[in-house]
Amino acid sequence: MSENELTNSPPPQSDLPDWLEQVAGGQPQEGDEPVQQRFSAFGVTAILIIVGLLFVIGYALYQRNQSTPTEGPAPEFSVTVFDVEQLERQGERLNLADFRGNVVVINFWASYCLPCRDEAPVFERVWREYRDQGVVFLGINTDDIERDAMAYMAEFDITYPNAPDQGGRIEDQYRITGIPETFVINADGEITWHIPAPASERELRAEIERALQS
Amino acid sequence: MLRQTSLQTALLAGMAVLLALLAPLAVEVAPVRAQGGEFDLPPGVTWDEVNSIARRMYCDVCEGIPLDECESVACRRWREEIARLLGEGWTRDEIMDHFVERYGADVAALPRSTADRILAFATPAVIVLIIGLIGVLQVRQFRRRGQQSGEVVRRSGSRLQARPVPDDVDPAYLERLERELEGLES
Amino acid sequence: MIAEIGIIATGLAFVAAVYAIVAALVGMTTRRDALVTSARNAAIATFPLLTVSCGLLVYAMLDHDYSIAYVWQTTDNNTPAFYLVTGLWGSQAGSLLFWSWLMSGFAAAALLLNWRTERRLMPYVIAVTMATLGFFLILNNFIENPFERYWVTPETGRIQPALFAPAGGEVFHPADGNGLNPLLRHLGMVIHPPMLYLGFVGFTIPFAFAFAALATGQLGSGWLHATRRWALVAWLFLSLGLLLGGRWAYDVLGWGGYWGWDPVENAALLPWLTGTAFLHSAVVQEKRGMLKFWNMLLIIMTFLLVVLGTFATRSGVVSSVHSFAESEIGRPMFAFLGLSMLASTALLAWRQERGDLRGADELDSVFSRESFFLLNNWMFLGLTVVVLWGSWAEAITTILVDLGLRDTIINLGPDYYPPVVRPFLIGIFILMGIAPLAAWRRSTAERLGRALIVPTALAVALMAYLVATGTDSPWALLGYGLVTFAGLATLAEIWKGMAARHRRGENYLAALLALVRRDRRRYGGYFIHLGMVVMGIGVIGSSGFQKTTMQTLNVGDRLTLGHYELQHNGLYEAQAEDGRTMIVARTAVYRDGELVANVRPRRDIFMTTDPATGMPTPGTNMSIPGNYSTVAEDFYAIITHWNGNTVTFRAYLNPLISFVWMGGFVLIIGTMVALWPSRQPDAVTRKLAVPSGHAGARAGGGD
Repeated sequence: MSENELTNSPPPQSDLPDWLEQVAGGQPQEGDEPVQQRFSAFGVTAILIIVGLLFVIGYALYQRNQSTPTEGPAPEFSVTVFDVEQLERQGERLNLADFRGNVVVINFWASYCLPCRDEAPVFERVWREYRDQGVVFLGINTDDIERDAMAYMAEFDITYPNAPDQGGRIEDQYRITGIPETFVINADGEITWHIPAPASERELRAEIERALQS
Repeated sequence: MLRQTSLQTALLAGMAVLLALLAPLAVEVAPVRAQGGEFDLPPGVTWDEVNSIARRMYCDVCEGIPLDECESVACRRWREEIARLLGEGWTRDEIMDHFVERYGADVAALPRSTADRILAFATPAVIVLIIGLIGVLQVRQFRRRGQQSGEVVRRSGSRLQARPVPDDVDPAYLERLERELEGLES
Repeated sequence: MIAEIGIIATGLAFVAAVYAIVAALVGMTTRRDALVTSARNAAIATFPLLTVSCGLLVYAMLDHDYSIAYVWQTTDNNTPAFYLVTGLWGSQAGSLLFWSWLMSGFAAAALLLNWRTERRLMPYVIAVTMATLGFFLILNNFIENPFERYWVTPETGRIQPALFAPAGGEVFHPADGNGLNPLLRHLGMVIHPPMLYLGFVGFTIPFAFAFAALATGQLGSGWLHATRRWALVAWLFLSLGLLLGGRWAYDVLGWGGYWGWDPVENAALLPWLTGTAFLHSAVVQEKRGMLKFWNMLLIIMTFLLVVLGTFATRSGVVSSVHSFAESEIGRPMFAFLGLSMLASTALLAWRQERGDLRGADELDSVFSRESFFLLNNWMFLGLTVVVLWGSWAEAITTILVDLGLRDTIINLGPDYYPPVVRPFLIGIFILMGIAPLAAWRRSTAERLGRALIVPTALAVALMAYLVATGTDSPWALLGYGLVTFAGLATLAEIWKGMAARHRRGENYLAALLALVRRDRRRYGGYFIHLGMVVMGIGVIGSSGFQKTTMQTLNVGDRLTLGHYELQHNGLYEAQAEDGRTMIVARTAVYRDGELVANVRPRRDIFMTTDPATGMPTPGTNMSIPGNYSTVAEDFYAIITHWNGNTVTFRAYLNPLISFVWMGGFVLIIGTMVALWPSRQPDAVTRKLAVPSGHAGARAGGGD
């Protein structure tokens, strides 16, 4: 049995229907102790915790919603090129900042990615053409096993610098959503083009030309 | 442990040759049967050993799936790499540290460094202790109020007046009464 | 035509919900009864309107109207009729509309059933339920509208999805659809989301009443009594959803387990935890008028965790297997979450500060039943905190990393949860055993001890037996001991009642039935506890003693796991009716050398068309296990990899896993017993019923 069956509604003290009386903040009952105001420790703690939680959740949402940078300054990073003879600058530590003044093409790939295999010969070919104009090609190998990466580079006869994304930081910085993804950066360090898909030769050449002119 | 007999090795080699010869045909047909290149476990390494490490890791490519269950090509390659490293004599910790260094901290299901692991477990422990402390305090506060029998307990805003059971009834008797009632009710 | 009506119906529902909120609040403050009634009617009207919307969407799917983007996304010409109907919740937009429909239905029912008895609370109940519904309707109308159609502009030939025709656009009718994600074409996967939604939506009703009680100051047990059944129904569906999810994962997903501590799984578990605590704590408020603040806190937390869980699942902020595609709803959901958190906490803190929630908060004895219930609340709260931390540690440490305070994030996987969860489960099972044996108000340690001697002794005896027969894991031993203790204590309680009646000449079975009939809530609760005990046995066995192995076999080879062997007898390919290719392994299972079963683990490959080449290519790849199941254990095998006839199998030995399913079944039965309305009030309540107004009406339904 519940308490409410033992206590009835109080005798109506006004013309209004009972429920409205109560809802409108009705008169205090006879014999009630005076209400004591206390500082609510719970209230303060709860609000603090909630604000903290909302901050965390909001930040996570903000992070998630941030899309891949398609313009503006390209995030800085440094890499160590694979120590493989056929690659230029083998074993060297390179910073993106070192290439300020050159057009840079960054390509994210992995050996198990089938579309990457389609565009690999394209990149090598275009690289060889634009080398003399100072265009830098940089391949970033993500989430891949080193030997598989080496085998891949050997298979496609790749000579431009390629480096592993140590610690997975670069793929986070560039917020790539999959592979292959390619970014073209102009001489001022600004991203001029981004494609979250295999790049066709025509597009790649056009965008490099565009970056060279800007 | 599964050991490769020489017969099995020869068989596999023969199949590999056969597959290589048939490769041009395979291009036309959607490759349902083959699942990528064949991989041989290094001698002395079992898939169970690989999985005991892989299950403590996540694949970076597939979200939220432990490495031992993930079916993507990347994950298979990672497991094969673990097998290879085991074959070379690496220990579990060395392998996991290597993966974390190469791919980032979210590849491991638990933090690698002891300090981080302590932090990971200590944080909820501290929170729970604080909550527990509040709990103990609350129980004591309630107990104290309960010991002040005879005083009117303050209530405001609520309309509770009477307690459902009078104070002076022996609880043992009450319990027996309830049982008897249960027996009587139809 | 369909889409237009659908858009209008959904839009009208939104208008009705907003009107209901405004009218209810205005009517309350200006004391105009008629306005509040009109608000109620508007609120109820949302249900038929949304029924029309959902009905039209289902009709469009049955009719294969692919001009509607949602129909194209979730069905195709080959989809069987059953999946055409259940495709309503197959994807984001439709599942949100389905949610709104359920919410409107529950709200309408809650309003109608309680209109007379809880009139004082009604304005706020209307406001809160309609505010929640209204938020989801904002998503349904403006962000993820399932009635978006494909339009083609003749000049450019571009096809785009939009709600209204772009300039010069005409409706575009694709000939075939995209089809449902193959993973969802399974009965378990079809039922699992609606069960969870029913649970989530169900908990909104008690929350609305609690909020109303806080706002109006009606802080007695009225709101609790009105919504007790709702909370139990919601809990039932949430439990079903969790159990079905686990069972489906085990049967179809092929990773040998049923619970992975995935953040989205946790998102459904968290409100279940606080909801369970709430159901228990509510009993104390009804019986003793105490723990009012706790009950408010718990139901508010349950609601907020429901919103948080929905947000986390659909916005992609946590990395999980369940991740939906990127969607726009993250921001509005976050806003709703923030508003609800702030509003309900502020209200609760205000009432707490005024002392309105004091109630009879006192303990006569630490060994009294109310004391154990209080302890129970703390246990569940602790459990909630540790699970929350596990899911959100990565997000929190990411912020610290970005602020430069840390080097690396902390990612917590399945290995984190068992050690942190154990202490609380131990506490909860101990309480499960002793609380029903403790008396209300006063109890002494001796009395309690005396009642517990037999269950404790038997539990210790079991532990000794297990040690003697080779169980060596201390945690498992403790677990089995506790679970047995709780189960025996519960059985002892049931037995006491049966024995009391038997003394009067009734036979035991009739006594049991009469007892259950007389006090369904208590005995339903006992059955639920027994269900948890059985599940506990299953969980300890299957997680503590699971064995697994992975080996590559040629035809004729065997692998060994425990006292089982699996022999590979061949691999063949088959085509199923819905176009999937099945790679099936014929295997034989031997136990202790004897053939016990032939199982066929297989791979289901769903072919899709490669957009670049137009050729069929393998798409989704499912791993269906071959399972030999007995009461004692499951021998479970999947194909990991195959090359020609050489197959790599992964085999699992799951001891006692059948107990998990059996326990779940007992739990569901127990809940239904507890929910079953009594036909007549007990004699006690009848005598005490005050024959006036609504108090009398409520006494008539006592149980």
